[in-house]
Parts: sequence; C-alpha cells; structure tokens
Amino acid sequence: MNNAVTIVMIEDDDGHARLIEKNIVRAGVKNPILHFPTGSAGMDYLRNNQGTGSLLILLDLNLPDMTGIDILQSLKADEALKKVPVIVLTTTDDKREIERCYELGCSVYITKPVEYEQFAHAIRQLGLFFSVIQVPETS
Amino acid sequence: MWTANSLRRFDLSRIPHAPILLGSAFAFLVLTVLVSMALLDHTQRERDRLVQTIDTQDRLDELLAFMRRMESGQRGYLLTGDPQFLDIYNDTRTQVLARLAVVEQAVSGDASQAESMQRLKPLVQGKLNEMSESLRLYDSGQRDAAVELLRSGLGLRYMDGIHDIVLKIATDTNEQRKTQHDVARQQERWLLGVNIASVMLILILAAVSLFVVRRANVTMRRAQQVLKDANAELEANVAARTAELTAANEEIQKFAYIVSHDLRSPLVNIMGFTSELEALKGDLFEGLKSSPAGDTNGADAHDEAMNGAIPPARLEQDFDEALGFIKASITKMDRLINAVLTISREGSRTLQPEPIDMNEMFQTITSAVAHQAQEADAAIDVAALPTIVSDRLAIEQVFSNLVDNALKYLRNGVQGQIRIKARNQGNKVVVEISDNGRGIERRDQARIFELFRRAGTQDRPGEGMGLAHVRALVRRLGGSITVDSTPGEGSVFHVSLPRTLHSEGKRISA
Repeated sequence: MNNAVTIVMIEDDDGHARLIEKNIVRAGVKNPILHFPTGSAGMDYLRNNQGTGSLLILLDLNLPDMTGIDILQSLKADEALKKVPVIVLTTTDDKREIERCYELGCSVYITKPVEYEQFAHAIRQLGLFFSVIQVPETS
Repeated sequence: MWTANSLRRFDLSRIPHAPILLGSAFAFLVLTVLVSMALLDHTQRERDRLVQTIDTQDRLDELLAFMRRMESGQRGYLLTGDPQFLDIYNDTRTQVLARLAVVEQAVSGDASQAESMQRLKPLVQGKLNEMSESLRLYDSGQRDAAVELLRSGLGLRYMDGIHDIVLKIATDTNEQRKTQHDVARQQERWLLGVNIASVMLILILAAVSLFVVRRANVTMRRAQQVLKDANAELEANVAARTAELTAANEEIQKFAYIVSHDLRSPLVNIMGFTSELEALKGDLFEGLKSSPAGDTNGADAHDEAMNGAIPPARLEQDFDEALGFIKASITKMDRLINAVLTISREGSRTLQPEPIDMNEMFQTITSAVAHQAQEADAAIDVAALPTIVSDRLAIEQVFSNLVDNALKYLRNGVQGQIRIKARNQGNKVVVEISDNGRGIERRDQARIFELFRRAGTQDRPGEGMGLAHVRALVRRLGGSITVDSTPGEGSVFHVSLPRTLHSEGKRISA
C-alpha cells in the first residue's frame, strides 16, 4: 500500500489496539497507524486533518461514547470522508449489525475471534489485503 | 380497575320484581276473563228463563182464547143446532187439553205458579164438564134443561174463575219478568264493568310491560356499553402490557448482547497477550542460550526475531506490556461480572415500602455531596417535595446517582445550578433533576441508560453503570425515567414513581 496512506484506528480497548497494531506490522505494513480510544477523538482528527493524504479507517462498533454505527453514518454523510474505505473490526457477530454496516457503506466487516491464533491470522490477512488495495486520495 | 365495579353495574335486580308484577297482572286478566264468561253464562240462563216465562204466558192466553172459542161453539150449537158449531167445540176442546198439559209442564219449576195451576185445573175441568153436560142434555132432546143449565150461571162462574187465575198468573209472570229483566240489566252492567276493568287492566299491563321492556333495554344497552368500554380498556391494557413486555424483552436481549460483547473483549486481550508472552518466552530463552550475534533465533512466528536478536530492554518492555494488559483485562472482567451481579442482586432483593419524606432524603444526599459541590462551584436547590411510600434504599440510590451525575458532568467555567422539584401526575409523582451542565446529544439520550455505555467526551471516571442501575431500580419500583437535554445547556432527568408502592405480593392484583 502506498506509504502516504494513514491508518486511523478507532478502538476503545487499548489491548485490542496494541494487538491489531502488532499484527499489522508483522504483515509487513509500514504505514503510520493512529489510534483513537474514543469515537469523538477519532472523528475530531478525521474532520480536522482533511487533505493531508489518503486514509483508511479501522473501526470498532462498541465504543463507550458513541456507537460505531453513528461514526459510520457521519463518515458517509461527509463529502470529504465518504470515499475513505472503512473496515469494521469488532467483537460483534450480530447479523443485523453486519447488514446495517454494509447498508451504511462499510467496505469490509470482520469479527474479532477470541482465539488468538485466528485473531492474529485474520489481522495479518488484513495486512496482506492492505498491501494490494488501492485507496482514493482525500480531497 | 374495571372488573369489580363495572360488573356490579349491570345487575339484573335493577328491574324490581318484574316477573312477579307481570305474573300477577296476567292472573288478573285471566280472572276477569273467567268472571265475564261466568256472567255471560248466567245472563244467558236468565234470558232463557225470561223467554220461557213469556212462552208460558202466551200458552195461557191461548188456553183462555180457546176456551172462549169453545164456549161460543157450545152456545152457537145450543142456539141453532147447527153441527158446524159442534165441530168448532170439539176441535177447540182438543186444543184446550193440549195447552193445559203444556202449561202445566212449563210451570212445574215455579212453586207459586204450580199452585195457581192446581187451582186452575179443576176450574177448567168443571167448565169442560158443564159444557159437555149441556150438550148431552141438548142432544137427548132436553133443550130446556140445557138452557136452564146455561142460565144457572155455573159456566159463567167457572170462566170468571179461570179468567181471574190466568190474570193472576199473568200479573205474577209480569212481575217476574220485571225482576228477571232487572237482574239481566244488572248483570249486563256487571259484565260491562268487568269488561271495562279488563280492558283497563290490559292497557295498564301493556303500559307496564312497555315500561319494563324499555327499562330492560336501557339497562341492557348500558351493560353493553360498560362491556364495550371494559373491552376497550382491556385491549388498551393488553396493548400497553405487550408494549412493556416487548420493551423489556428487547432490553434483556440488548443486555445479554452487551454483557457477552463486553466480556469477550477482555478475553480477546487475555488470549492475545498470553500468546504474545509465549512467543516472547521463546525469544527470551533463545537470547539467554546463544550469543547475541549471528544466530538465527526466535520463533518464526515473531517477525522481529527474524531481524536478529532483540535487545533485552525491548524484551522486558514487551513482557511488561503483555502482563499489564492481561492483569488489566482480568480486573476489567471482574468489574463487569460484579456490575452484572449487582444489577441482578438488585432485581432479587425484596422491596420494603415505607413512607419516605423526600425533603429529608434530599437533605441527606446534598450534605453527602456538599464537598464535591463546593469544589465544582455548584449550587443545589431543592424545592418542597412530597412524601411517598417506596423502598428507601432503592430511592436513595436512584437520586444520589442522579445528583452525582449532575455534579460530575457540569461545564467547566460555568457555575453549576442543580434544581430538584416534584409534581403530581395522577397517582404518580414526577421528580425532576435539572442541571445546566454539558448536556447529552439526542442520539445518546437512550444509550446512556444502557449498561457500560457513556456519552460525550470521556474525561470523567466511570464504568457506564450508574444510569443503567438507576433505570433498573426505577423500573423495579414501578416507575420510569426519561431525559430531556440540550447539548451545551443542560439536562433534565424525569423520574416518575408511584405515590404508593405496594408490597410485591399485592402488585399482581392491581
């Protein structure tokens, strides 16, 4: 993946964030990863740093301050941010939730497995995926 | 609410003795019909007797007339000797005897007339004998003796006697007829009276029946209305209960979902960092065994290991980080489990309703947070509050949580103003806790009552348990809680509670 792409990770659990980061790096992805523990902090960053290059968003649905669905909705409603690929990475495997996310325009929905081998494997696969996908530039 | 009272309203005893009333009226009607039938029968018999009396009189008159004709036949013969007169005499003699038998038969029922008849019979017989004697004398050639017999006036006296008796019987029967006529008139009047009475009775009966039927109809309509209302109320109640149950069910599902998700999160961490530790262990022991340079070491799963040896400081840092996350996750899981337990225990605790003076209770709450309020530069203003009957412990927890929250989420640099007041709403009391704090976004206003969920900037400590706990308690007390809020201006929490909480055994019957 283009080095100019910044990965914005909105994840309330620091442990999860650390594990995701470690495994993405292990997959050989060298892009900068910015971690925001709350939805509002992530949204603030995304709104205030438009035009600074391409972005990719890793989003957890269960956040303490606002739901990931709300974030997804406001991202897709934002002219500047709606083209940014959003990868929902969450513990939830509720079918309705998954449908809702795709309806709202998320690019990929991944459930975090409890089993660490699977978890690490999934994230590394995601890293490999990062190395091949094309990301539009934010205007 | 509707069951006992409304059912009592359509009691049938509201139509008093209707069956007895109708039954006796019908009995009267039958009685009048029977009486008029008896009267009619009686009148008919009287009329028959009258006719018979008139008939007897006619026969008597005929008897007299025939006797006179017989007499004139006798005399004509005696004068002229013409046998034509003798034929008249003989013919009328048969008639006279026949009439006499008829009249005797007819008056046999009447004592006085029968007696008159007894007197009449010898006279008639005497007259007949006198006449036949004169004719016998005439036929045997003794014309003078026959005329002499006539002249003696014996026949005349017989006739006078007969005439007198017939006249007397006529007078008697006339009297009798008058009486009979009067009786018949009297009976007709009676019959008329009875008939008028029965017509009036029928009219009254019809009026009473109409009234009873109309009243029964009105009662029935009222009962139907009551039933319809009760049905509508029942449907509304069922709809309300169904909505409540659906909401409760959704909440339970959401609760299960939240709990399972929130318990899974730390589990992912524990599993993850345990595996990281395992990998680190390989690196650590490899590092201890071999020289730092040249060797390819470490688990191949660990990419850092492939780039050569890891500096011990880095290893230690990773090791500490992993252990730290594991410990934090275990602590978090413990906290979550405790939170779920607390809420579940709260649900199974027996509520003990008692009168609570809310003024006193809020005084206790405000003095407990006085220090906090002073630090936050906030004023708490409590208006006059009512006394309610509820569970003291639960009520205290609800309101101290809400006051804590109001103090916790004030705006920086703005003097806090927290107001508590109450109003009545039917059999409920609505307590309002308003603040001029940071407020809550509309989309978060339902979410804040969910377990482990918080709204706005996460700059205050907390687990996201308080309001979930408050809502569970308020529900348990038979109330509800809602919030109105404008971000940046403040929030108002409305807690609606029953004025009197019934102890749990009685709640079902309400």
